[in-house]
Amino acid sequence: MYESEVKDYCRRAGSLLACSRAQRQQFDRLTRQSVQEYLQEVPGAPWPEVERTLGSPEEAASAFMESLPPDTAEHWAGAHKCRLRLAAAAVCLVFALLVGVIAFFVITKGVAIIEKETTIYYLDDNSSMPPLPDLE
Amino acid sequence: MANTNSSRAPRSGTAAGMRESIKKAVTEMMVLFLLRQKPMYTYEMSQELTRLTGGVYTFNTLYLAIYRLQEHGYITEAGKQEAGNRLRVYFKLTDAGQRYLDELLPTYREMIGALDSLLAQDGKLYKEE
Repeated sequence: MYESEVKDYCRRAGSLLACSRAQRQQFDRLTRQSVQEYLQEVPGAPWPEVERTLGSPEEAASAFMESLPPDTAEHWAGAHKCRLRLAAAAVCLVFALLVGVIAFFVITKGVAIIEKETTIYYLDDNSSMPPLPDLE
Repeated sequence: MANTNSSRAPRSGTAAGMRESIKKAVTEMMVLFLLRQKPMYTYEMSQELTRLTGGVYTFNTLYLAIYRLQEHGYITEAGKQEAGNRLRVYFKLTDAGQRYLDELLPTYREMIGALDSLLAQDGKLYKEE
């Protein structure tokens, strides 16, 4: 019940969590468990009522961050920055490669790669010509 | 679809924002206080606090406060009970939780007392000046 609402709630709160994926999963698990427990006690409760017990996504994210070690957010921010730098470097590398390839074709005015194979047969009077290789 | 308006946290600079901040500050203390009275399950805590405060205080993010207190070792599961098709998990205070609450209460009373007595002097302060 309320699967899409819970998913949306976790997504909104998750965007405010500065922690690892495992910790986010723990947050999602706690949220789902809490919704399930509430609906067990108040079957058919409307979603806004359920959400009130969870707190707003901002409140929930802030409350969850308080349960984590104090340096978690800092550590995660550092790791996140590192990942962003690596991603930026990868994008730059791909871009440079593309520019290089385009420049190569512009300078060489296009390159056609042709594979040519030549077979020379020296035939004397007594020999017969071998069958031609199948080129297809 | 979720009602985004209902989920928006009250902003600071509003009375509702201050109320939420106070609630947030005392949530753990209130959970510990309730569990000192008797073991309870999550929904029961929520209902009891609302009832005992005449509806003034309602828990937000109670499940996260319980998770936090469990992580810190201040509360622990006291058992599970099946009621109909419901499975209720009861919590109780640990010794560390008792001590923590004993530390929190005087701090809370000191703060609230000082602020209350200051606010009681509204309009009477600096009259001579």
